[in-house]
Amino acid sequence: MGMIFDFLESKRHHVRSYRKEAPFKYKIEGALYKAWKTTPSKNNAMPYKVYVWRKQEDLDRLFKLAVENNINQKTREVSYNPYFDHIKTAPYLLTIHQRESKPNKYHKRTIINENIWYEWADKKDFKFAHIGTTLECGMFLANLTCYLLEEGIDVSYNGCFSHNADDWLNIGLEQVRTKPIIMMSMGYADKYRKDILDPKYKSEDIKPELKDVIEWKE
Amino acid sequence: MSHFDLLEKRHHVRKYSDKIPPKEMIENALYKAWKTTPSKNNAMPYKVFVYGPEHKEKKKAIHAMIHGNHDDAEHRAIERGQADKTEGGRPNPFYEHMMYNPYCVCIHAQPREPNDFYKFQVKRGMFFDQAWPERVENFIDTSAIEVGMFLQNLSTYLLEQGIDISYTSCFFRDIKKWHEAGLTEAEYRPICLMSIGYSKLYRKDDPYVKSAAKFNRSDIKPEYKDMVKWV
Repeated sequence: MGMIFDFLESKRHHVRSYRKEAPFKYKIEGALYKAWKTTPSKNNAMPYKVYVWRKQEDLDRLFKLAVENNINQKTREVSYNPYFDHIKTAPYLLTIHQRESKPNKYHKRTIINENIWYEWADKKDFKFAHIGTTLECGMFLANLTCYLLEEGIDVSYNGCFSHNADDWLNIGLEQVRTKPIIMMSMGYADKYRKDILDPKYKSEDIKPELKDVIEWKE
Repeated sequence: MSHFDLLEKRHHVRKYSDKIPPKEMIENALYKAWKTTPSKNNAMPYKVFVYGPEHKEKKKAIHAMIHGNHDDAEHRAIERGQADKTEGGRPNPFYEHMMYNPYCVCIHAQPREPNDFYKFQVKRGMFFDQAWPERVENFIDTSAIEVGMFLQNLSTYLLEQGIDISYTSCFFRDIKKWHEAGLTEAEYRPICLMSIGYSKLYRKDDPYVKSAAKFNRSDIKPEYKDMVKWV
């Protein structure tokens, strides 16, 4: 009991940059398969699509999307954040996007019998499906993270970038047609953020207290 | 048991048994989920409300938020020309797990002040969007993805202890409706709901679901190849 907690506590750290040595592709594929297999989804729709990027030119474009989204509020200029470096140094980078998902046979029947509205079946309704889809992407990533860490592969996330698919198309990421939700880098860490962060800041960069996040109603 | 084997055993709950898991077990899993779930800028821009076994009336009100939304969705489908009739207000039995459960978890958006480290970054020009109550709709994506991670970690810790869980993301999103129904605990919009307990009947064993499978109408996921693309 409690092994998964100890494992996550000791293994997962935000990556500052990755080593050049790439994990075997079959290990990434295995983890992705397991995450697909074990992540639940409302109406079994899984209304999202995962792209895995490897070419350096694509990683540089994805890095640019993150950097250019980071505007200093005082100077109103693009501000380079070294903590985005994990994006361009990663041997594998995945991005997750909204996806049209047609109902399976069970839900087709439910739609006919019970007039259920299936909001992720059509792109025009994506805005209604977006929050639920994003939530499920979080579940998928949490599972994928565990499966990769089990293989000794490090991960980091990034949610700072333009969420407009047109901006992605315009810089040459031609596969992207629907709203980007999140980025995740995968590889073997060269440096972790915790090892770079000035020790004086470590005690300051902390989560909200447990009592401020979780409230029992009694 | 491996993490994969543990999660493979998870099934959506149709009905919970009367046996109530000890509160300490739930608290322990919540603590672990809080401790191990990462958050952008360490903000955790959400709040988790837990209703124990004694809160039967609150759970009825929460169920009404789900049923009311379902009913509304049917009417919206008619307006859009996607359906031609409603179910006439008949409650969907697959939402019952949110009314009859030992523990019910409601997660809502929550703005957060930056910690000391990020206060310093803000002074240097960083934009800390999770701090602004009027920007809840702007940072809801961040909240939702992190809530998904939190829920998945929480689920794993509960499953490790033999406790079942189920989710729903069908409910009124407008917090005013929650307040009108007497659910005044949260200030901001809900993101996801979860029920916790020991299962008496899984959805997969429900006669309706089983009969659908018999007629080759199984409720299955999209293919792996439709979801993952190597570029």
